[in-house]
Amino acid sequence: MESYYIKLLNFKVLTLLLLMAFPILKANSQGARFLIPDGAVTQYGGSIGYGSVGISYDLFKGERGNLDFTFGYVPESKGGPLRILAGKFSYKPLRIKVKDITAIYPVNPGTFVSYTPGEQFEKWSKTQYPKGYYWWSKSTRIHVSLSTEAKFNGEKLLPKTGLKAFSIYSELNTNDLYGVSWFKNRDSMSFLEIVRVGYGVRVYF
Amino acid sequence: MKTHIYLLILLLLLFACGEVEFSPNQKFDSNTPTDLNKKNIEKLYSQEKDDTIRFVLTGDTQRAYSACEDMVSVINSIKGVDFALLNGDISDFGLYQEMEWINDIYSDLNMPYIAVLGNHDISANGKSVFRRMYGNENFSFIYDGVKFVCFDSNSREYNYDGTIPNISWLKAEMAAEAGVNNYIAVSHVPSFSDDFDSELEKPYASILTENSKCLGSLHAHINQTEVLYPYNKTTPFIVANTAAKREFYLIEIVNGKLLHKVIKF
Repeated sequence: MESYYIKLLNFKVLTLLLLMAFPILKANSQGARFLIPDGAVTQYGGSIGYGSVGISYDLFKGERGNLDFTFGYVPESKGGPLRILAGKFSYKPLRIKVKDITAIYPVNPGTFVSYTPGEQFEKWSKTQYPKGYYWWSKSTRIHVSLSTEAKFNGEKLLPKTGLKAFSIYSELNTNDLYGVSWFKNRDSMSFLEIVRVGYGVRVYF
Repeated sequence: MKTHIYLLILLLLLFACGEVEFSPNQKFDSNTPTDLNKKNIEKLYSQEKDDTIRFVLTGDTQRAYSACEDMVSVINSIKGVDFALLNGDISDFGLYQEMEWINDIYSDLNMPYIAVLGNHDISANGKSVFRRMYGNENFSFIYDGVKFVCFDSNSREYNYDGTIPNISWLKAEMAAEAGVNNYIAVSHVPSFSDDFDSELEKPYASILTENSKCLGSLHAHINQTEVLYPYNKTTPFIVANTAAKREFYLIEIVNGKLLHKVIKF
């Protein structure tokens, strides 16, 4: 059962699905313009790097979702070296408008996949281990997330910078391996013990 | 407007409740302890000794946090336990977080504990995590005249390259030594398992059986409680069950004799 879902949701498949779904989600745009990102994103922590940078796309009408692709790095002094690629989706169902300066998206559920390349994270060797000896992927983590975001009108607050808008967010996440660790120990472990946080800034050009 | 600001502050507070993490694969965070085995052996040496060595052999704590909490309170209720051995597979996925969770639980023991490297602990960055948090995977300590030789026997993880376990290191560690009356070998994978290098099984067995002062070989890994005499009639191989199966061994050494008892909880 556990091995089945890991296989089903392996990183390549998920990335392909996201990429395939992408043109449909961006159907409102014309031609290849959908490939041009709507913004850039940078994040501290949040399980995708000590620091990470990436591109950001708005999804759905009324900017109710984000799709980010990021590259993160963990230096040796912070427990690395690690390089991490991530594809992140979040849905922003609620929006509280504060005049025309600020919009708060208080509760945004999401999911993301992180991929950590490296020799020690390579697939389990088929010659070294019998089938099913280990069931999880070392390189690919599936996360669920919940974020809160405050978006500010760049034209009003930062005129002449050319920035349409910028936002700050905080994002909670946990991953598949923490999830299975918690699930079997629910009686002694609080869910908060497997929750990790990251903080980011998104700018819209 | 004010309400919204309050709401934002509230949300930011709520969302700052988790710990900042750079990656589940990071080797440590700012609170990760270091050199635990060395520190715990020092603690053990500072304890008062008597004529009985009493310790517990626990195994495979991987992902069994609730059971481990219960086990720790059971161990604490046993009188006169000098130390605890955690015989490998501390973690399931080799993550620093898992080893920290287990250390948090084992730190509640009334006595020091000493951890050995298991095959799961080698996964991903696990070996680096173990080395920083606990120390070298091959190490020994002498307590009350008994030398405990702890080592990496997870041969499959190295694709049976002939180096694990390190036979020459073992020979040197098990060689006659002043102040040592008895020897006990401690490793995760037992030598009769498929996960142990079959080429090294005989050399390992010889080291133990040719040493008349060797009291036994302690293991875990095979998910059952077992006492076997695979190579001669005098050297027991004692295998501890997983913590999840709620069993561990209480072991006593009195006058050069080893006694063992399964404790269920």
